[in-house]
Amino acid sequence: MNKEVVLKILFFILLVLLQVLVFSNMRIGAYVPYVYVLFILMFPIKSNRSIFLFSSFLLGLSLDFFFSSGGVHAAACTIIAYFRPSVLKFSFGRSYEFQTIKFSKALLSARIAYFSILIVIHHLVLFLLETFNFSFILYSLKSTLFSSVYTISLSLVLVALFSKRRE
Amino acid sequence: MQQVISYLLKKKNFLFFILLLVVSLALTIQSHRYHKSKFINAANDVTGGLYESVNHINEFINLDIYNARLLKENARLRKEISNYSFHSALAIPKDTPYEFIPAKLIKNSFHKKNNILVINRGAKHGVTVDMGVITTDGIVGIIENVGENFSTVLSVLHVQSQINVQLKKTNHIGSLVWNGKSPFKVQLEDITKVASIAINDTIVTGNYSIFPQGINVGKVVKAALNQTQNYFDVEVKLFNDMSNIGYVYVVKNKALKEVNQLLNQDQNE
Repeated sequence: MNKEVVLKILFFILLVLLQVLVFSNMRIGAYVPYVYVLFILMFPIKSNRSIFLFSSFLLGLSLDFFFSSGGVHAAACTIIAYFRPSVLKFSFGRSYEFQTIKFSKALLSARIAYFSILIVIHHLVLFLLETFNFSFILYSLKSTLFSSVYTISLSLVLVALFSKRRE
Repeated sequence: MQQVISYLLKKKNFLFFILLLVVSLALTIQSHRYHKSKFINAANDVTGGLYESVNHINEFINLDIYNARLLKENARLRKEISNYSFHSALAIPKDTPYEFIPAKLIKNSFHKKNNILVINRGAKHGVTVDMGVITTDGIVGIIENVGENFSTVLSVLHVQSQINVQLKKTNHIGSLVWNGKSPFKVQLEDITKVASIAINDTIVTGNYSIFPQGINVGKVVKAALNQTQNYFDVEVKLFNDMSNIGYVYVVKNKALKEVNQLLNQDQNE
């Protein structure tokens, strides 16, 4: 096991703990930020696709254990992990094709677009599956909207705080 | 054949994605259909242990509230006991079918549609599935999954929860459900129009249910005949503050097994 793998595992555990202990208690009204998706968003781009898919699935599943929610988070995480390359291409354009993106150096607008698209997809799947009932569709859409805004802003702030400064 | 294999290899990420998606969807559907997530639940030692260690902080903050609640309950029970000893002619039944297991709620949740709570008592302490969970003020929910040291509780604030209740005054029965809107208000269904129901009527747990009869649930805040004009649409305000529960009792009904056996016998004949 090299250093990078160990770091990834630590990041995984840290985000699960933070989500369960901190972010889930940062409720505004009825809306909770699901910041743990940062693991999927910030996963190194040049990595094995199957391992990435599987670790995203595991991330979702570990949260399902904590929230006793069946496989809701696992499904949402797997879906955004699968569609990440297309979203990366859409928001970062050419620099993605040359595999030269550094999240800290990318344009802010590109980063916001990338975060927003994936987080909205994640939350939409999450809330639709959580209620699993068409009579609650309005609730699901409303929760998706407000929770997404919350998650996106919190994630952007966290990434800005903890990423390395530009030279 | 070789072409098929090379095609599969080329699509292996997609296939892997589909596999993971199917697994997670199957787990989701299973948890919705039986509303008992058999495999994925928080009644295990890892999640329960983490929740419990964090709960110490929460407990410390709320200590005076829990103390006041306990004192109030003690006062009420003392009053009841003194009533009994005063009317000593009334024989107190020594043997009740109910046993109460004290427990602490270590994970609360009330803002979702499917609220599942965690308590720090499990199979080791005699908790089994489908026992009722109550507090001093009212009811909390029903045990859903049991682990060795922890259990999960299906809250009354769960859209699939359904509890047998009755009007305290007239004994008309109905079932308590939740429409998923306010964490302080639940709905009462199947109260027929012959029942005289009024605002501020008290709702208690029903005769044949997991809970002992007559546990306070809430009071009526709104009652109107529904479209068919045969049943009331009733809104009930819970006596319990579901956002701050703290300590609970798990109700063990020793007679329930026998009752169920008798009912099954009836069905088989």
